[in-house]
Amino acid sequence: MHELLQEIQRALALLDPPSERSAEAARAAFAFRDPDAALAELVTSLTPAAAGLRGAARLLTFAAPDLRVELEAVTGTRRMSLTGRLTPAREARLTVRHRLGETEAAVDGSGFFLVDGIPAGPVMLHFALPCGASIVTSWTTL
Amino acid sequence: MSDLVAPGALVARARDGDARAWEALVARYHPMLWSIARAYGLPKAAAEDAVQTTWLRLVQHLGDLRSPDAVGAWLATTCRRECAPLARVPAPRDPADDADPGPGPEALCVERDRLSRVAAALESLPEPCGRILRLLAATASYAEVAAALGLAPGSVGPARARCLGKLKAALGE
Repeated sequence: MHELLQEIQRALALLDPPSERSAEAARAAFAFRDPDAALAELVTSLTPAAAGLRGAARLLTFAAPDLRVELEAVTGTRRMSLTGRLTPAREARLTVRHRLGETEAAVDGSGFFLVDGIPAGPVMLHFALPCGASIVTSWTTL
Repeated sequence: MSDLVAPGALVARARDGDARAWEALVARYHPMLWSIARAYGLPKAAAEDAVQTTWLRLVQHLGDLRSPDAVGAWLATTCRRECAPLARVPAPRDPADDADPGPGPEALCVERDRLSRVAAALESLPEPCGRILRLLAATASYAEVAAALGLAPGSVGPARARCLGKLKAALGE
């Protein structure tokens, strides 16, 4: 490596190393491996100009081949509330995974769900269907 | 160990549940991802979120990467997509962000002084030079730098030489 690049490497290691918390989170990510779940990818993310302010909403859509998840994230003073709909409509058990752990909620027969108290940061929705299959959304920073 | 094993082999082992292979991937690429997030000017908390989301995405895609040996470029692209919408012009460094220099022997202070000047010179460079050099210093390959910054792969080599020249000039060398 070029001598100056080596100096940059030492400078960054000294002045701006990856935080221990982020390295820990990277290692811990492996625990969320769920190879059997169908993955719904983020296809649209609308962030109105006021997003990030209290009460601002962000609209997201996740899609798998035969399913969609529409999600509205509203930022409160410290936590977010998530409302959304699973289509085609079906009952499911929803687990929202986030930086502080997991929050559970029910998806009703019309596919509607509501979850409060979600901390900002990486968020993923896991739907357990009555048939035993599961669907996960791609991780998204909210 | 991790440098001797092809990235694609680590991806395959991690896909099959080998936690040590995952840790080897983290050891190899985490500093690069952190550099990408910081090169885009994200503050620490936002950089932590962006990098964590990038790793969580890789967990979801271990089984369907098109080129497992290019997992570094995949991570760099994913991280760029997380960071770019949040990018801001890097603000002057917050001194509170820096590690406490602490007392130390003379040689340590000289070294630290030199590295601080290198870091300041780096931040004074017009983009994408600062970002390119940060990523190369984080041992990113040309393909990974290109993926991280959305550049043509063939442009990274020439840019490296040009940017190192600018850094030397900024250091008065």
